[in-house]
Amino acid sequence: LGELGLHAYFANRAPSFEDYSALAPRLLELKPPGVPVLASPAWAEPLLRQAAPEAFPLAELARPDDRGFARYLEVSLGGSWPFGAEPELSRLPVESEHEVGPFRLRLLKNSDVESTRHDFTSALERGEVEVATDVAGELTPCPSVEARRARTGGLHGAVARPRRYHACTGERAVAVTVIEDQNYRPRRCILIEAPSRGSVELVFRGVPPSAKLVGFAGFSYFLDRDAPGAQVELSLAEGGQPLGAQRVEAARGWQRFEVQRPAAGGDVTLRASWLVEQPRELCVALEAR
Amino acid sequence: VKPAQLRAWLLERADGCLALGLFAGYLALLLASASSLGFTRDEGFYFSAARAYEQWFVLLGSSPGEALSRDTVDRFWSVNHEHPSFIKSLFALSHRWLGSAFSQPSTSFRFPAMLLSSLAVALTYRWGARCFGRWPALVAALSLAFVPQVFFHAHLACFDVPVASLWLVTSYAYARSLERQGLLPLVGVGLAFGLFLDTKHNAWLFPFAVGLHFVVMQGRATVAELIAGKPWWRRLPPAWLSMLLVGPLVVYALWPWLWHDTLPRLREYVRFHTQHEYYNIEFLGHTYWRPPFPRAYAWLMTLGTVPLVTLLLACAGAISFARRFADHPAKSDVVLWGASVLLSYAPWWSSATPIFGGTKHWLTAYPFLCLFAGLGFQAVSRALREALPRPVPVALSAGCVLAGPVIMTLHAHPFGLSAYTPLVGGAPGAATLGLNRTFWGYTTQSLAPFVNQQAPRAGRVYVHDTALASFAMFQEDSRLRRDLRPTLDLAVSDVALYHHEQHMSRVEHQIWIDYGTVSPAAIATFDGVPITWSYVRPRSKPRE
Repeated sequence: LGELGLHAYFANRAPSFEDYSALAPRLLELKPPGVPVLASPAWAEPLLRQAAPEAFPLAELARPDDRGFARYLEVSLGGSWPFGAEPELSRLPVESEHEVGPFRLRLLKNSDVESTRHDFTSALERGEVEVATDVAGELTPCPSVEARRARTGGLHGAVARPRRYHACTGERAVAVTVIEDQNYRPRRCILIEAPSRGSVELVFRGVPPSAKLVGFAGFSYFLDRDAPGAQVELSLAEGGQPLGAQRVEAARGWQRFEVQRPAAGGDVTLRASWLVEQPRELCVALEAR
Repeated sequence: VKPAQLRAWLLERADGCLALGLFAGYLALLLASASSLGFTRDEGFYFSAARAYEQWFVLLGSSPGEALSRDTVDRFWSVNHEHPSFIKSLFALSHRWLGSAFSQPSTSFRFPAMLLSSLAVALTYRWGARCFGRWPALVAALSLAFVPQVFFHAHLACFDVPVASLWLVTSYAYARSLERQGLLPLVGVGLAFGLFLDTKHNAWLFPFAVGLHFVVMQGRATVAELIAGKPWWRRLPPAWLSMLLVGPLVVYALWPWLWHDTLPRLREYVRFHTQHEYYNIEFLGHTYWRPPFPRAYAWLMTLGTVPLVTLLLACAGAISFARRFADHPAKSDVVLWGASVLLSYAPWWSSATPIFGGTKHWLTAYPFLCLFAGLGFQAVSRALREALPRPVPVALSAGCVLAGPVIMTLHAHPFGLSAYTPLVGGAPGAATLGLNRTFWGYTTQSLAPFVNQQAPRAGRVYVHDTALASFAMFQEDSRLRRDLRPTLDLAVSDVALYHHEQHMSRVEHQIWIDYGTVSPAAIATFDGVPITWSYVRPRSKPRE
């Protein structure tokens, strides 16, 4: 009978759809621009996304890491069992706190922040990039096109390619997409499909000055976690000067790397060169921080 | 007739009637609740297989010569030949004969599995009543009926509860054959074992269970006779010979796929299951997809999904039996129960055994766990009687230990695979701990009203983890509109379903990119936890 009592307690503990709907306007009011919303526990996030979609811009929801934002807005179901707090949030200092119905909203300060000066993924979406394939020094531009429909592969298929993308030779594409990392969490990034020959070059014009470039790279972890060794070499250059290179290994999931920049900002070139044939769908996020 | 004999006769009749009542009651409950339970992925494959076998049975009736030719047999029976035929043949025949007897066509496919599930409940009672009396037997039977995940699987046109039922039936027949001389009990064991073998490969473990039983019950005496040069082999149960001879004959007779190229096909069948590919399963927040798998998985999942009161009673039963091991009146039966529990879990002692499928692969242990729970109830009732100044009515005690399982199980329907006990915080606690929330794509049922309302006429529905054949059954049953077109190509869909599993998150990410929204249009929750959700393509993002 004690077990039955506990069952009744746990079964009726979670907020209802009405609670989420009632929360939505207050959540949007309390959410400053550029402050990602975090659900605690994480499983409540789809309910929050349904109630307040505007609180979840894709760039925040599928951010490359947690260091790019100065603050987070945590929406908690109370923090006590069975709604435990997400461990990565518990160490962050609280700036303000509000109770809204059964929810607790806390503005958390990220003391480990690296302010983002320029997001290269958004720059690609805005068309501020030149994409080309490079075969033995000969550059072939990849123009921006809009297809009749997106391409999606389902669970075992290709990474999603949106309708608008840069079309390279051999029906290969460069576009903004989302892949899953080694924890199956979303990462928004630039999809670069392997060319049949040569490498892919992306030139970002007029990147504002910053101390460093922070990069993230990976493949769809679910698809390619079995692939051994390194598959791609990424190199970065600015104003014609090499900044550094990074080898990407699919089995390691979403990897972070960084390179220092010269004092003045300029044009940044990202080059992806495949070391092996498979896997083909690299995804890269790059930020000037 | 002496009064004692009359009393015994009446008691035996009463137990038979109670067993029949449990059978009928559980069957009625399964039938009444089937229409609200969606179709699992595997059911879709078995519906297709059953339809193929049904066509063959029809042909067998009309043109036996043609039906029995190799080409025809192979054509019909190659469908889903990685699993044996018995249960799928029952699905086929049930659909053939009872297709119009139920309000929904799917029920006729599911009916044989429901019958076998109800048989397991009734037989648990019968065996329990034989070993420890009526009330503990009732507790055992109802504890089995109301394990939330057993109740879920008991509905399905699948093999998991049927194979648990046949393990129980074969064990019971085996136990009786040890007591009774004669040909009939022996042939009965062989037949039961044959049907068991022809249901699912869990049956391969059964000989080890009876072997363990023999070692415990006869091992010392047999070794002594061996050392003394006496005819020790006389101690070997004749039922073994029956299982060895009759069992395979039954499999061969009932599984036409084996009628040609028998040995290569048997090898292929064994290889398929011994070298089964690894699927993904989330456990404590981590998705496992290759060995080594956590050895604690089966035990912890049992702890998290079987009502605690049932497990505690089973432990009490095991302890009380151990304390009276030497002179327990039902020693042989209880040892067989223990061996069955151990062998049902045995594959997961290896970290190389795949752990997909949640708890369904060791459901064969549950009837025996519940028989131990009955034994435990008997021991606890006895202890209470001795400890308390006024005896607690046994019906009240039984009600107390059954109330939780019954209410939790009925509450869990139709989200049986998402049901966790309060030990892990129920469904919310399990989601927080990172235990698998659902699989098999059956929760499309919960979104059916939304899809029916929102999808455009002749609209395309991305089915995600729901098998196309399962989707077709939703339509055949009129649970989903018949004009809807299922698709596996998200990019051409108007409505997209998403069945949450950790490793499947990439499907939702694809929906975000294609539909241009991260906001689900509808979410089906269980105890506040999102289980499955749906997106509708915004008008600003037409599919073509």
